[in-house]
Amino acid sequence: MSFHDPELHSRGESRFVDDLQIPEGTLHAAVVTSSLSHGILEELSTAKAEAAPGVRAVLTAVDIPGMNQIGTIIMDEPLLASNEVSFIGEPLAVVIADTPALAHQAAELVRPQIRKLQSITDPREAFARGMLIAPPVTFCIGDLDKSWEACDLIVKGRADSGGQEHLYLETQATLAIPMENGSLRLHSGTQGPTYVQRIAARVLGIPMNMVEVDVTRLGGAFGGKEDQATPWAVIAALGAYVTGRPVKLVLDRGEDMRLTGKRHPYSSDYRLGLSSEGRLLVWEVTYYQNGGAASDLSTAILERTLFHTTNAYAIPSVSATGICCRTHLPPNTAFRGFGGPQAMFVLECALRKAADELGMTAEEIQALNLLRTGDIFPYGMEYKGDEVERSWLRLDELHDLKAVRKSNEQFNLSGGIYRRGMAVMPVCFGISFTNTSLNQASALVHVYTDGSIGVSTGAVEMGQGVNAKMAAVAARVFGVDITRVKVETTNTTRTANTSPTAASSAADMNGNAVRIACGNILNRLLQVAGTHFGLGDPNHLELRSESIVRNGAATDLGWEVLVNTAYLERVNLSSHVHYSTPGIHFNRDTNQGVPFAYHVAGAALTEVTLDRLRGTYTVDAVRIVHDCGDSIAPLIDRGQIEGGLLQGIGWMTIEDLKYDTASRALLTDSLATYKVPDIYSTPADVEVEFLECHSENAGVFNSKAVGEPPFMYGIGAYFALLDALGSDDAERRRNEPMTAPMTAERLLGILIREKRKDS
Amino acid sequence: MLSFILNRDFLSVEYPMGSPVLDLLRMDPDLKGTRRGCGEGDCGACTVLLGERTGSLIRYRAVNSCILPAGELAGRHLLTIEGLNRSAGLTAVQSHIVDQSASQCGFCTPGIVVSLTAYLMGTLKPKAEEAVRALGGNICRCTGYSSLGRAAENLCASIPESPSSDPCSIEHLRHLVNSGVLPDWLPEVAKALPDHSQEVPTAAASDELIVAGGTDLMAAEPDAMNGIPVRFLSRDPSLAAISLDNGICSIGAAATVSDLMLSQAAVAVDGLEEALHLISSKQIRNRATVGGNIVNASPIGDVSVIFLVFDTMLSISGRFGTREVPLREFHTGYKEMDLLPGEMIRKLSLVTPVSNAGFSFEKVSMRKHLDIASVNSAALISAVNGTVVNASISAGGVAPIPLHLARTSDMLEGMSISSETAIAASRSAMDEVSPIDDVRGSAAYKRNLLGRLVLAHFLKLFPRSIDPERLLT
Ligand SMILES: Cc1cc2nc3c(=O)[nH]c(=O)nc-3n(C[C@H](O)[C@H](O)[C@H](O)COP(=O)(O)OP(=O)(O)OC[C@H]3O[C@@H](n4cnc5c(N)ncnc54)[C@H](O)[C@@H]3O)c2cc1C
Ligand code: FES
Ligand code: FES
Repeated sequence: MSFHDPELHSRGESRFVDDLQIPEGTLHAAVVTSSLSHGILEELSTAKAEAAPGVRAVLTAVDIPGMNQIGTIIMDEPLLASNEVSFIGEPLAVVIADTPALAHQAAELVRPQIRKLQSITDPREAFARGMLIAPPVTFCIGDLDKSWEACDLIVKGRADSGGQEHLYLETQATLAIPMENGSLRLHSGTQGPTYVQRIAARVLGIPMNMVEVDVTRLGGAFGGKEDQATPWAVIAALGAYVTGRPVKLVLDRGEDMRLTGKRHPYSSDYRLGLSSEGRLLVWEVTYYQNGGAASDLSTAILERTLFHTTNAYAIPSVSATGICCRTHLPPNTAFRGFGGPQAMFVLECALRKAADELGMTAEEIQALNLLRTGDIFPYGMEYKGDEVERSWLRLDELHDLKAVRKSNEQFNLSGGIYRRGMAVMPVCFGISFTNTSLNQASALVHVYTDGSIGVSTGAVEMGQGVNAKMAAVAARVFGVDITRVKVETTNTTRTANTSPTAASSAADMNGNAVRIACGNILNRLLQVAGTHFGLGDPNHLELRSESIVRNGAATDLGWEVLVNTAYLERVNLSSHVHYSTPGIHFNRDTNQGVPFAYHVAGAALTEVTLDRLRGTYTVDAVRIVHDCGDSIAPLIDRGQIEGGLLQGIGWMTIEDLKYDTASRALLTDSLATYKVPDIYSTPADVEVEFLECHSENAGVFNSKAVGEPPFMYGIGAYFALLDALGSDDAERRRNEPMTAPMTAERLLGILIREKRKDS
Repeated sequence: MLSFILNRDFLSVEYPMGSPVLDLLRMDPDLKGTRRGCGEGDCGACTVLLGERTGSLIRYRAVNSCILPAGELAGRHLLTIEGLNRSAGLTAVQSHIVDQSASQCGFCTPGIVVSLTAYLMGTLKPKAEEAVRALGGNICRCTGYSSLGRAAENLCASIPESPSSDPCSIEHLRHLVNSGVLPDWLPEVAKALPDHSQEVPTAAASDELIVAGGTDLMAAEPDAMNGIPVRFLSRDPSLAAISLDNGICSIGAAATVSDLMLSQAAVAVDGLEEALHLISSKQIRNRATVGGNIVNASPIGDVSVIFLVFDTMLSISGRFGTREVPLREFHTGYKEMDLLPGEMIRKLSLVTPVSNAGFSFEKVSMRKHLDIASVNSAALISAVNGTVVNASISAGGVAPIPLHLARTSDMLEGMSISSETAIAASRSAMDEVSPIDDVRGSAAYKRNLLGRLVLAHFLKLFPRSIDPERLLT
């Protein structure tokens, strides 16, 4: 029996929500949403829909038994709008019918009357009108005035980065099943089972213990199911609660793209001061974050932007301000990197500008300013690692950055329409939820009398391989074959009050909980073995390769017999362990503290070839040195690095969200119009080297978190393209904002303007 | 009643002919491995194999079940991931994917297994590079492409060359059974398929909706076939025939893009296969037909733009017999064309280019593959002693119809091949078109891009006479 996910996946036997066998009598929900981006809902007539064939119920805000409120950090988002509507796609009503088709047909019959109000979708305009989700926040360190005076060069400018659709291949989905006595079981595709549980209970007006949320796995999430799985799960729960029947809601692709939030677009102003030799002295930046219509996780994401404002560089004086702007777009939300990529993009823009002015290469400035052990981050934490510099040096050692630049210059002399470019992207990313209270996890481990093992944790499997890691931890502690370990679904009844699987930290925290829980059981088993061998003290016993080892020598006491013996002796073969990351704290009054357990670092060299005639390009190679600590699953970690990289390249190049200029409706609402990287977009050469581990890490068995940091290597693609554009583009760079993504259209625009200027 | 073979089982079901096969599969609790990621042919999560027997040859092709009308199943073999599975253990394709950890969330993985299996079924000597290309229609957002590349490499290295001479032979299927790619029952089941070439096409009725590949119909209007009579062109093999005779190439309107890529026509025109490779994905090319592309009349239709530069004639048949219409006169306005109700295109004929003519196709889209062009353009230019004898340039995405750039083409005649001529052609082309702003780019971008693509034709066809620096300034 294998519980190995990839085997199930490759056989098509892994089950996602839409694959679950539905109970008899299951009904289907369809959501009626706003087609205007801002207005007042004056009337919502449901009579026609109610009379349509197969319709069991049409629910609006008045049918909500509890609170009509799904906000998590700030309570500013109704489940179903009842007065003001503030984005296209905002849910207004829910139709419950016998089939999905009947539900959708009837949904068309609900006619909302909305009085149109002016809508704002630009964050700077929202800021100018005082439309803020929260007051601005500033992280500040050093003596700014003095630092500005010491500068030989000051560059300033504006940098804009676009949104990004998650495009997890499995769309948002929930199956809600009523249980006895008004309780509910929700099979939801969520990263945050506890969020869904808490908010379903809130909306239905019932205690949390009446809502069980069960998650087998997600078909991709990337942050898009951290907060935004909740509305759909709660809508299904509401339908099941009201009708007493199971209710299933699966968004189709177009709905999913239109109704859910994206990565936050940012528009930022910066000022960077340097010494003449290229040392970074002072950094001042204001980030206008396009939060969308409700807070969602925006404030937390913006805070992480501030945490990563200096990325992998040491800058003594910093003032970084984040402004969370409310606009009339679907609430933007978590996406791999959680505000970090947006911050790093801005600083890299500033570095390129400074390099132009100083006549240095970007790498020269970068290398000069890398974080070194003991440097202080703008939030007051000391950088304890040395991996930022080590990974850069290793990258240089492996690939000789100067030689690459030189060979590109050589090529470009005779490249015809082609021109090569390169960029190095160093990354330093803090690991832990920046909301300290979320840094807790739990595990429940059972050893059954036949020797099989069940592991439940708060972590949700979504392709990042957390289940494989949990199984590896259990097998390692017990010294048994990994095939004995089954990682169970993530279930709020088995593990309560869980943090969402996010911030790259699920394997660290849940893995440590599993390690300790297995250790507890192991100790009891060794006691039993000690008694078996007539020893008072089991100190010289170990479990290895499925048997007890005594003083280093194998015995004939095997795992199964040992477990059964323990059971007969009435020894507890289960353990429930709670884990909280030690040593972290953060003061929101001073914005100083130690918010992270540790940092993950690495560096990537990106090489591109630009076709100056067509305005197209290929990303030829990305060479990465990455710090995984002591990886407990190198193949999985490598997959995370390569996958994150490609998503990052997509964000910087081809992923371009377009909206109708008048209505603000999303135009790129299908895979036909919104393009994500395909196998041809993958650089021909992706090299990954794991940095040798010298440190002690908070991750399980000295490993490190891996989910988010590699995404930011993708930023290198943008700057490699700028590099390929070369000095011809310097004047534009000096005078105009830098804007991502660098689409083919934008590239050709730059190339053609360059031509006109010359002629 | 729809009769076909589903994996190992002969099946007869009542099911609407025009409904997607994916919906049929997903109703069955035992067939949940075929997944819906988009419902319009753009992700490949729903990929299945469709097998068809012609005489002793059986051809399997990967197709998107979400836009495959159920009526196409009749008399054919539908093979899903469940059909490929062995009762225990993994197939060769599966085990290489697992070994490389090339499956992350796993939602896309069955489609990828099917696509790679389809590749092996269609080739005698697997090559990693081609296997990767076979995944062009499978989106993995997680994204395991690098590890899939490694899996494909190991996979291809592990499969010995087929002893058979034809990938459609039973012998080749047996070879794949022995190589651990296919289940052992498959060759016998495949042999039991009815012979497709023996199918008797029903007489055409004028009220029928013509379905060729259905890729456009099903993706654009999923309900188009609801409750109306449908005529599946694939039932008439003569409509897919491609022949080359005395320099005249005849292409059946129902030939798929894949058929065309494997045909003599592709051999006769240098660069044609490469051009066709830029159309959609493997799965779509296996269904999308030449005629469908022309009648779909999209202003960026790649097939239309390609064939516009050849003096292509369309044979159109209807109630009153057959008539010939030049492709250049066929499209009359946005989605308007010279085709009466009840009429259909039967074939295209064109004269293959003379030896001194060069063909070039250029397409720029947001993503290079599986994407609709922002602008595409084809050129066929013959030159003697450095002088243009004949030129024909077409462009898509810059007018309400796929456009033959008559003025620019005529202008070029007699001009010498030089950078100046290329620039003049480029300027003329930009003046000849009227692009609009849309999701694929602004009007200004498309006009500029066309200019650049015309330059690219010249640079590609006459590298020795054109100075790239001159084109850029
Ligand atoms: C995911 C995806 C990607 C695509 N990518 C591309 C691309 O890269 N480039 C491109 O050009 N197109 C692309 N298309 C569009 C489309 O698939 C092609 O235009 C295709 O060639 C249409 O052919 P078909 O046989 O599938 O047409 P169908 O859908 O069967 O038919 C289209 C229309 O033509 C009519 N018709 C078909 N054949 C005939 C005939 N012989 N006589 C009269 N009427 C006929 C049908 O009644 C229907 O109205 C893509 C489509 C999808 C879904
Ligand atoms: S579901 Fe995406 S291609 Fe069929
Ligand atoms: S593994 Fe998740 S989409 Fe491919």
